[in-house]
Parts: sequence; structure tokens; C-alpha cells
Amino acid sequence: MAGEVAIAAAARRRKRSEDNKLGQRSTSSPLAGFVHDARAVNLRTSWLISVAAVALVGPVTEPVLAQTATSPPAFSRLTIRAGALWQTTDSRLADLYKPSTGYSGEVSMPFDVGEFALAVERATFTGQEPSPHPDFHGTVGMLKWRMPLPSVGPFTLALGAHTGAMQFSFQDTVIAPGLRKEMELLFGVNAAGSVRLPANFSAFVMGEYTHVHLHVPVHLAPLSAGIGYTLTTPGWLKDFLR
Amino acid sequence: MAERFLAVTSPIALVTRGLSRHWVLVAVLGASLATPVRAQTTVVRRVDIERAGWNRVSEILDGAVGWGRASVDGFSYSASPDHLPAAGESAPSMPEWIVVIDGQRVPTNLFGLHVLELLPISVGQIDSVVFIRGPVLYMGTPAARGVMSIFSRRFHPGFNGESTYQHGDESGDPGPYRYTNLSSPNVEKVGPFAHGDIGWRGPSWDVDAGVHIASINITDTLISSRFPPTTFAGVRQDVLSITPTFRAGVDALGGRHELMASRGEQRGLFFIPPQRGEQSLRTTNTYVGIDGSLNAGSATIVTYEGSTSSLDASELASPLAFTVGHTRHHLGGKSSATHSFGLASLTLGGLADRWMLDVPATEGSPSSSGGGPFARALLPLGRMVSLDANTALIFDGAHSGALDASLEASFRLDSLTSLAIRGSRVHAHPNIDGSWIDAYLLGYALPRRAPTLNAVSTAFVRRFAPYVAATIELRGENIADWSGLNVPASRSLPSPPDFQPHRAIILSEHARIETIGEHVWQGSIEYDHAGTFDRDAPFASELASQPTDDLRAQASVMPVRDFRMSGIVNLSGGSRWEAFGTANESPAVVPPIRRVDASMEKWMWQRRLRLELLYRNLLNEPDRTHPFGAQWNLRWHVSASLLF
Repeated sequence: MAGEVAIAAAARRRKRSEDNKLGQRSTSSPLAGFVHDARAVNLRTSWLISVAAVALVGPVTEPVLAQTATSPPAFSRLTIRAGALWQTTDSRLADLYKPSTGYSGEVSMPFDVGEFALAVERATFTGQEPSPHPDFHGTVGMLKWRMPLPSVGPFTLALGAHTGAMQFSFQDTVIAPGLRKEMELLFGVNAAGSVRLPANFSAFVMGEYTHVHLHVPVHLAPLSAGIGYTLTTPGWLKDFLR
Repeated sequence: MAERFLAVTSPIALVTRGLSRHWVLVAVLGASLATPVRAQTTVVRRVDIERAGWNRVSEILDGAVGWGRASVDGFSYSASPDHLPAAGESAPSMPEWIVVIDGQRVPTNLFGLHVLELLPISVGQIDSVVFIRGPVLYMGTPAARGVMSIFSRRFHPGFNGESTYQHGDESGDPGPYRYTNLSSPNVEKVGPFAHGDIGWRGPSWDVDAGVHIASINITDTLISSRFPPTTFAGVRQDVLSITPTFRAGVDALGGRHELMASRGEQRGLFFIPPQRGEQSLRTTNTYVGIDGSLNAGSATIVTYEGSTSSLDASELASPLAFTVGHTRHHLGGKSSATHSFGLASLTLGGLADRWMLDVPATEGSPSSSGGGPFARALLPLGRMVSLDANTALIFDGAHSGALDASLEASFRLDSLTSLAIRGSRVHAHPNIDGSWIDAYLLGYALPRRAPTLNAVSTAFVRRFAPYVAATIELRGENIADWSGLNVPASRSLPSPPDFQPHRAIILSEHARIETIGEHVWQGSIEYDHAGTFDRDAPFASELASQPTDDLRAQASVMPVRDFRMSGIVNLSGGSRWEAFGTANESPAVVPPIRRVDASMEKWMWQRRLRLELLYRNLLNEPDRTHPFGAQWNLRWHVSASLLF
């Protein structure tokens, strides 16, 4: 028992030491005001996202059964969306980089519970004065799950969570080619509002909050808007997905 | 019920019903795991493998709760089933656990680590894995530490196959902060892990060929910082293994006969625990084995098993010193005859093993051999009690015969409750398990006496109808003549044997609650705790290299058809490694593990295709098992499996 206590104490000391190291680096930096404990941010965000996901999923695990009669059958239709993307970042990254207007694309499909979507977003992040760092293209690939709320006329709102990876492609010809790209895990929550238009078209606005699990975490808040088109899922694709 | 149990588990009954041999094994084990239970076993089933996202055989060790696992690179593992000191804290000649695939024993030990990626089976071919704590006699073979017994799954008739690809990545990259003073080392990918096999199954024969490939980067700073930068730049930056496999089986002569072969190669840094450092190795493991059974008539069946293997360690070009080049050859065989007397049965057999060692630039080939007769009796006593008695008289090299024995009594207390009590005594046999080779290569003189392990255990199982079962196990083990390792072993500077062999008593408790059968919600929680007593001070510090507590809990839900979500919690105590202490930290400390994993699986194309998204270490807590080993951050894996 005493050994366990000693081990736990050593672990706490090690963690404090790691935290202190990060703190020391930050205090010597002009970015000191923005630096937080990376581990704490990771933990907090993970928990928040988990809680949000559980809160969304919890009420629906009992049966799918709870789906309303108006819910489309799983995999019955395919919605393709494309739009423009604007995003803001946390203030720590905002001091270093400014994201330009980007673009987004998404393919979504109803599932037994809610709907799933595969999405891609891309924007260029430009280094900021006075000493700009090399620009990078930020490409985000996501798997999203959303739970649509009951429609009001042609309007629909859906809330959900997403996960995926962000690829950083640095426009830096000095470093080794193998180091010019990095890929990092992300989690987040999202909301999508859409309005039906004639001929299976729709217009949408989508907002997200994303936590990218870099060593120093990055937070993105993209907003996208554009046009969607819904079609019946081809039979072969429906069979494949079942 | 007792009659049914014995009737089902009687090998004769099974063979005469025309079941194939490895299904006999599965049935025997399955029946024995139902009621009554075998003591000291943990079963990892296919569903556990899938929801945990394990795509390498060594990852399945995670499911063996209480088997203290340790790895420097996340690739080659050591494990201690019984809380005895880890490899590197124990002397090189100490016994190890054994690996058995469908009844064939496959040598895997290399300096206390087990090269499980070079086994002649991939994760996709596995039906279940049974971990049995020693000391035990497993199908006549003495296993002082324990057994990892792997059972393959059988594919459907006709053309069939399986293929899986998994990619993974660890979080914690520097990203855009690489240009600032918040920069951190780049964190590498994990994987890919891939395996595939194709085969044909006819009415009475089958054939299958496959390959499994795995790769992991070893650039974690806890590894690289132990080398001068120029030296580390000159070594391979990952560990890679490629293992082609072949299997063929035929049903004939009233039984099944099977051939299994593989030639696996692993390249990269290889941590040698007794030396407390890495060498750059190309390790090749070649294995060919046969086994089978035949009906000899008159309620008698004969089983046989034979294998030849060679494990070769040669140099992979690098700036590191290379001192452990060698090839170890193994030739082993076993045969037995089982005669049934109603519900009882008696098995008589014999086993033999021979090891030969080739060391470059050394004259002569040291060798060893050993073996002896064994016997097993299964005896029902009335309707409620059955006895399983095993004994083997083992002649280990030139030593006089040593008697190993185990006796297990199973009691069926009522329709939902059973109790098993096992007592066993097994000696270490370095000439039979080949553990003398590690000592020889590392310049460590063999201790005068090999260790002896005695254990008594009891397992109480209660089923809470109809979906939940609980198991409580208590175990006491007495270990004598165990040798530790106070200074790193080196062939150029031979280290003396530990002149103070240790003894200790280890008491452990193991509890498991699990759901039974297929339900929307499934799960289990398993906990293991151990305490050591009556040991001397040096041994106490070596025993501290094993965590005293280990807990694994898993839950999964299928809210809709063909979609499963799972959550897994792993909690393990910390450990202290006296022999791995450094100027900055002595003893070296491995922090407790608090790991939460989650996975999502979706089957498609009429369950031919399975996609899985897996997160490990969601809390991003320290996750490492060895003081010199890599620490794994939050990481994700995506895998696709095709079954046809």
C-alpha cells in the first residue's frame, strides 16, 4: 500500500513537472497570456464533447423505435452539400495565423438513429505580421452524426457531434518534405439548419466547434453556408451499406 | 449435468462423433468453462477482439487481466502471469509462459520477450484465446508460468478468406506551433497493421494461406533520448514484421490431422531486457508443425504432435553494438493414447524436446534435450464432482527426473453454482523450454537449482440467471529458487549468477462479472489483485516491477442492427523497476494506467465488410508499461475488414 502511495506521488510529481515545463516555456513567450495547460484543455474538451454526445445519444438508444413516423428510412436518401466556409480560431492561434475563406463539402444519409455525414473542409491559414510563419492549408475530414429536430415547415435544425482529422500542409520549402504534412485528431459538436427549396434543392447554414488535439490544442469555429441536393440512394449503394 | 459435462468433454465421445480435433479442443474448453469452470483462466473471445480493435496478436495480451504486461516499443511484449518479476528484473534462465495454437506449442521467447507477431496465425483467424495461469500441466506439457492458448476459427465451406487493414495515428503533434517556442517533437503514426488470408474448405479437407504485417514507429522521445542523436539517426525508425503463413487439414482415420507452417521476419530495434538496452535485429522465426488424432478402436484414441522451428537473430545494419547473433533450433514431439471407461478416461503419453544453438564464430553447437512420460485421468465421482489429475515425470537434460503434477476437483453445487479447486506443482525445465539459451548467450551462468512453483487456487462461479455470471478466484503460490538480475547481463562481461535464490509467497484475488450470450447490452468487469509475502528485501524490490492491481471493464451496445458502440476502461497500478533506475530516477517508476478506449463498428454488405473507428486513451493520461518504453498519447485507428 505504501508502495502504491509512493508511486502515485511520483506520478503526480512527474505530471506537475511536465506542467511546469509547459508553463515555463509559456511564461518566456510573448504568447504567455494564451497558453493554458494543454492536458487540462484536452481533458475538459473531451469530457464536454462526450457529455454532449451522450446527452444527444442517450434518449435515442432505447429504440430507434422512438423515431417519428416521418423519419426517412435508413440509407434511403443521399444529400450532397457544398458551400463556402468562414472560420475563427482561438485567440492564441489567431495571433499567428488568419484563416482565409475556404470551401466545404458533405454527403449525408439518414441512419436508424439520426443521420451520418462525411464532410471535407479546406482553407488556407496565412501567417500574420510582424514575423509571419509559413502558410499552411488546413484540410479537415470528418465523420459527423446529427439528430434532426422536428421540422417546422420547410425548416430543419439538427444537432450533433463529429470526429475526424485535420491535415496541416505547410508551404515551407526549407524543412524536409516528410515534415511538411501533419495529421491530427479532432472532436467537436455541430449544428446544421436547412430550408427546403424546389426541385430537391436546399439551402443550409452549418456551425461547428472543433478541438484539434495538437500538443498545444487548437480550437476552430467554422461557419459554412451553401446549397444542397437530395436524391434517392441508388439500390446498389443501399444494399452495400446494409 | 455432471454426466453431460463428462460425456461432452470425453475426447473419445467427441472423436467418435466425427468432430474435428481443434473443435474438440474448443468444445472441451467451452464446456469446461461453462460449468464447472477451470481455475485461473481468462477467455478472450472474438467479440472482445473486435470491439477492442486488436489487430496484432500481442495486443490481445491486454485482455489478460493480471498478466503484468510490459513493452518498450509497443511491439514485442513480456508478461508475467503470476506477478513474478518482469523480464530484466529476473535472470535470463527463468521460465516463461508458453504459446499454444490449436494444440501445437510454438516457441516465442527471445530474451524474455515474446515475438507474437511471428506466430503462424493472424488475428483475423482467431476464434478465442484462453489465458491459463501456471503452474499447470497443459495437455501433458508442464507450464510453470502459464499458457496462452489460441484457437482458430473455421471459415465456411468453399472459397473463403479474410482481409483487414488498420491505420492509426497518435495525437500531440506540434502543428502550426512548430515555428514557435511552444514547439514539441513530432508524434508518429501507429501502424499500419494488416492481415489477410484465403483458403478453400472442402468436405473433409481444407487449406489456407495468409500473411500478417505490422509496423510501429519507435521515435518516441523516451526511446530516442536514450541514444546519442547521431546513433539514433542511424537506426531503423520503425519495427516491421511480415509473416506469411500456411495451414492445411484433413479429416481421416477417425480424427483430424493438421499442418501449420510460417516464416516470419521482424526488423528493427529489439529491446533485450537482461541487457537493459536495444540492439538492431533481424529476427526470423520459421515454424513447421503437425498434429492430429486417430481412432484406434476399442474406445481408444491416439493423438500426436510434432514440430520443428528455428528462431534466428542476425544483425540489421546500424551503429549499435551487436552481440546476440544466433540461431536456436527446436525439435519437439508429443504423443498420447486415451482410453475411456464409461465416463472416465485415462491418458498415457510421452513428450520430448531438443534445442540446438548456433552462435556465429563459435565452435560447436550447444544443445539440450529432455522429456518424459505423462498421464491424465478424468474421473467422475457421483453426479456432482469430477476430478482431473495430471502428472508428468520430466527428465530435464542430465538432471534426475522431476515429478510435476496437478489435481483439479470440480464441484457442481447447484444448477447455477460451481466450484473448482486446483493444486499444482511444476518445476522449471530450462533444457525443455530452451530458457538456458538466453543465459548462455548473455554470459549468465545457470543457477544451481531451477525454480519450483507450487500453487493452490479455487474458483467460485455463480450464474445469475439468465444473463450474468460472477467468478471469484483465490490463489496462493509458493515460489522457490527464483533468480533475479542485479547487474545487466553481458557476454563480454559475464555476470555472476544470483547466489541468493529467492523464495516468496504470492496471494492473489481475481473477480469477474460478465454478461452471457448475445444481448443489446454486453459487458464485463474483471479485477486482479496480488500481494507478496515471506520474501527477502532484494526480491521484494524486484517483485515491485509488477503492478499489484489490474482492472479491465468493457461495455458495448448495439442500438441498431449491424452497428455497435463500445467503451473499455483499463486501470492498472504503477510499478517500480529497481534494476532500470537511472541517475535521475532510481528506482525507475512506471505511472499507473488510467485508460479509456471507445470504438464504433459498422457492418455492411451483408456483414462482409466491417468498418471500425477506435480511440485509445481518450483521457490522454500517461500510458506506458515499461520505464524505458514509449508513452502513448490519445490515438485513433481506422480499420476495414473484409470477410468472404
